[in-house]
Amino acid sequence: MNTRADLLVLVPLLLILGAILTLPHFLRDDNTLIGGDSYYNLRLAENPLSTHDDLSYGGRTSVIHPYALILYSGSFMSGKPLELIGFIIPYLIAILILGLFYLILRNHDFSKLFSSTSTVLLALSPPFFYLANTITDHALVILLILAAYYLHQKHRTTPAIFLIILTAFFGFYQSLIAIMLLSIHGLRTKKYPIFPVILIFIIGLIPYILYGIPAPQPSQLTTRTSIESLLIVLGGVISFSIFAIVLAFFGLRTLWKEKYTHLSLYILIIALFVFTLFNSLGVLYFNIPFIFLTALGLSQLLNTRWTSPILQHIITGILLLGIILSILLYIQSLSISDPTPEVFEAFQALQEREPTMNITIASHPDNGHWITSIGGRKNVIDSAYSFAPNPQERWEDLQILFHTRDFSETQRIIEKYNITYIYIDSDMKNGQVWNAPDEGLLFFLDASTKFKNIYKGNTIEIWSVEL
Amino acid sequence: MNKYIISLIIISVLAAGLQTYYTFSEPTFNQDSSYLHLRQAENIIQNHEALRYDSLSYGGRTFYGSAFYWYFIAGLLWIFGIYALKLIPSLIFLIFPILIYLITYHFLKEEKYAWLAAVSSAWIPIIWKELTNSLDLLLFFIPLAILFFYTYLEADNNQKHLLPLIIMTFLLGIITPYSLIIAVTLLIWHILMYIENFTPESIRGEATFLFVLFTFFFQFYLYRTLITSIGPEIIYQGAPQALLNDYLSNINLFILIGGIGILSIIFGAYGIYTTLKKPNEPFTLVTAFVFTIILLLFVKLIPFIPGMILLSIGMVIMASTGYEQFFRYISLTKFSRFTTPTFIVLIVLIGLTLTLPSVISGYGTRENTPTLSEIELFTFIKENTPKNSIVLTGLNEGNILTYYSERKNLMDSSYIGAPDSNRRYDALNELYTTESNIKAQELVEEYDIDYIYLSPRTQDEHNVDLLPYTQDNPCFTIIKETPEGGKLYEYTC
Repeated sequence: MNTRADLLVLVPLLLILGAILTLPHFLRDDNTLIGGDSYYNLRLAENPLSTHDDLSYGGRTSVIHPYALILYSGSFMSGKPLELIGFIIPYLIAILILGLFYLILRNHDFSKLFSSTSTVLLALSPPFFYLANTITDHALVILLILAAYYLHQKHRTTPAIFLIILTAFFGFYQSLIAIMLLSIHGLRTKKYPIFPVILIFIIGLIPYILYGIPAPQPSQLTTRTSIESLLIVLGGVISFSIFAIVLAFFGLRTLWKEKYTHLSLYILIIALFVFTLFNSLGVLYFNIPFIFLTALGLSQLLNTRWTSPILQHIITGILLLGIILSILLYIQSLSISDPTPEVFEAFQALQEREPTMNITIASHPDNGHWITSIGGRKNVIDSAYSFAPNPQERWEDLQILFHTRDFSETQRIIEKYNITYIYIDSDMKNGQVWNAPDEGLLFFLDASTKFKNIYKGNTIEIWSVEL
Repeated sequence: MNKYIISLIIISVLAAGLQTYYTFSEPTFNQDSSYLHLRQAENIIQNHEALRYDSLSYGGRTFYGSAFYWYFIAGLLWIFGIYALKLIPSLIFLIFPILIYLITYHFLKEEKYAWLAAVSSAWIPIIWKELTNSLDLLLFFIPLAILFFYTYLEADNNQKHLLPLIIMTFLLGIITPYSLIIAVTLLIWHILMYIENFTPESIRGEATFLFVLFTFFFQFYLYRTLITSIGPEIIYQGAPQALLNDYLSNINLFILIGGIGILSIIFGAYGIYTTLKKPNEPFTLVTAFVFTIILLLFVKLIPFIPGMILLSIGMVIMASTGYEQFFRYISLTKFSRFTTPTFIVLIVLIGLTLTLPSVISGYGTRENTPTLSEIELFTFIKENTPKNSIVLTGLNEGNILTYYSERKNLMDSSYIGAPDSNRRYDALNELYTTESNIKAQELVEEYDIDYIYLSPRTQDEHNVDLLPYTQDNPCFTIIKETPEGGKLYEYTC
């Protein structure tokens, strides 16, 4: 690998890809952040060392998030607002990931062309776009993992292991990934890093030691992945293009010609895929080896001799066009994803009516972060289930609230959680909660004088509870 | 020109002639979907684009998918007028048997058996019943599919043979989602070839890859918005669950025999059996096509009628190799001197089991064709009701209503992308059968229905002469009737 020559390729490539990655943000009407997790992490970053969150679940334990600390530090040191730092840091991390990915491939003696193509494919993959455009600590974990692998390639094993150990501070799921990676490495080199594995396991257990075993996530709101959520064409939020999958199969076929030479890679792919099935955010990790396979498949498609070169060119063109179209569709969907301007408008209307901050708003968990981060109010439940108080019970109570026609039950739930407002959006009315316009709570909202509509937009309604 | 070709041309002309007679003996078209295509074509002529958002169908809905067919119909309508559209089924019936003959002869190299298959293909009862006097897309899809299979099997590295294949691939992929059936067929064909240890030409694999990729790519692109909102459920094309449940219950041996023809079934099955024992590229491909249709029918991914039509085509083509194998077998036995009489018996049987039922089925299409008095009633609705009125009709009359009356319907037979088809289907059935005044009024008010049309067709379907809840109910008044017994009710409460 010629460092100078590589830099001449890499730097312009990263600049161009970095610019493309910012598209969803700049296509948004109002330059707001994308996704509930972004707003949640930003809110944590306002007070990163706090171990209590007053708003989420009406008040709950808050585990210290290293990423929130980093955001806070970035804002503090630069003097810039947290929102701006929250926008810049994910992009910086994404660019660093791309750079490391390129260098790792070059260190494996792949050509500049292959490495560049792979880097472009990675940058243009939906999971990577999600990573670059939302505030999620998984981006930092992936960066640490790739940096560790790069250092390992340079025979600097101790710093590499150190970086892997650092990933354990981001959560138990991340520590499991770290243990898996070290185990695969041990399998390959026959040197099993027992001490680092134990250390990672202990670090991963620290929150459980400090705060106890958390209540399980509501079973009906599992983050398990279904096949349709993995496909962008079937509406998956963080998902893969079906054309990339086709190319990845070609890539896998190419690798399989050398059978068990790449055993550790197969194990890595299978393990990460299994992780993905249990947690949809595993897609972000699985994306890295997946893109490698995709690039390999594309290379094989172009370099193999076909019976008909015409068919070869048409097929390759369709695959590339399909990938480009998929990412364009994904960019479009990201750019119009929640929170929309109407969410801000709705909470502004609430603020004008009810300046009191110490109120509780009930809604579907998917809207929980808007209530806390944008509305600045308490919610009953949100999607940060880890170490939350009784999420299953809260979800079941909300189901009663949403679906019962027995007003005494409605009243009981409202009083139990001290609910003063109810936030309803169009997703809730279109199957997420209700299937008919007069189902359950919707009937009471229209018919009862105990509820008053204080905001009605195109897709959002806020109702005050006046028992 | 030999006797087979001459006789085939005569038979094709006869079939086409009879088609023309049936078509022109009615001023209207068979099938509810024909009116959707007609309305779209007229809209294209008037507004230079297909109607994507339709305020009338389902009271307002979006049409997804390719508008290519509508533009094609619009072109014909604009250049040649309505009579060109009426002639389409006849033209298809004219060329179809000739196409079958040419293709089966090309692969079989036996005139007699190709001729038998071609003659059978001119008289398939289910096709006569469903596609006579119709603008159904299947009329175009079937010959295009056969041509595609031919170009696929003839493809090699010679550009002369490759170009038609590439053109057919793009054409089919763009025109209709039925092309997904061909994609699945090609995949199953490769599996069958692999199982039989038969290695096809490598260009077949490349051609299959292209077809599957392009078809899925294009269809996913066309339906992306719908796929995003309803997910994998799209494979059921929006059909109400109750209808899906009925798909399989419609299938029994008598319906298969009556629709496809006993000879095509027996010899088609025999052809499949002999092909699986001793595979060859062309007939294994048709076998794969038959298996695909059966599979799709079984998992309810294709409605019953289109499935039966496509199955009949596959069986007719496979019957050609069935006939060949049968006569080859006879020639080896002591019955070899009865070969010619057997052939004649087969021709007679084709006449009795295929030609006669087809002629009767073709005649019977009048039942689905709106009568002149119905058109008068629909015109009455157009001239005497407010523009935003909603009219309840039978499921297979919704598009007819929107075409003639220009009023909203509760639902019609174009399910894909339609809002709430399950609940509407239940409501439709309830409104034609319930005896409860309260239930009926609840549903009428839920869907803002202003008028209900109870046609003779709907009366037969739901086994009612009049709507039970309208008796002694001042909210429902009959404002028009047809001589055949159709009734138009107005809801006045």
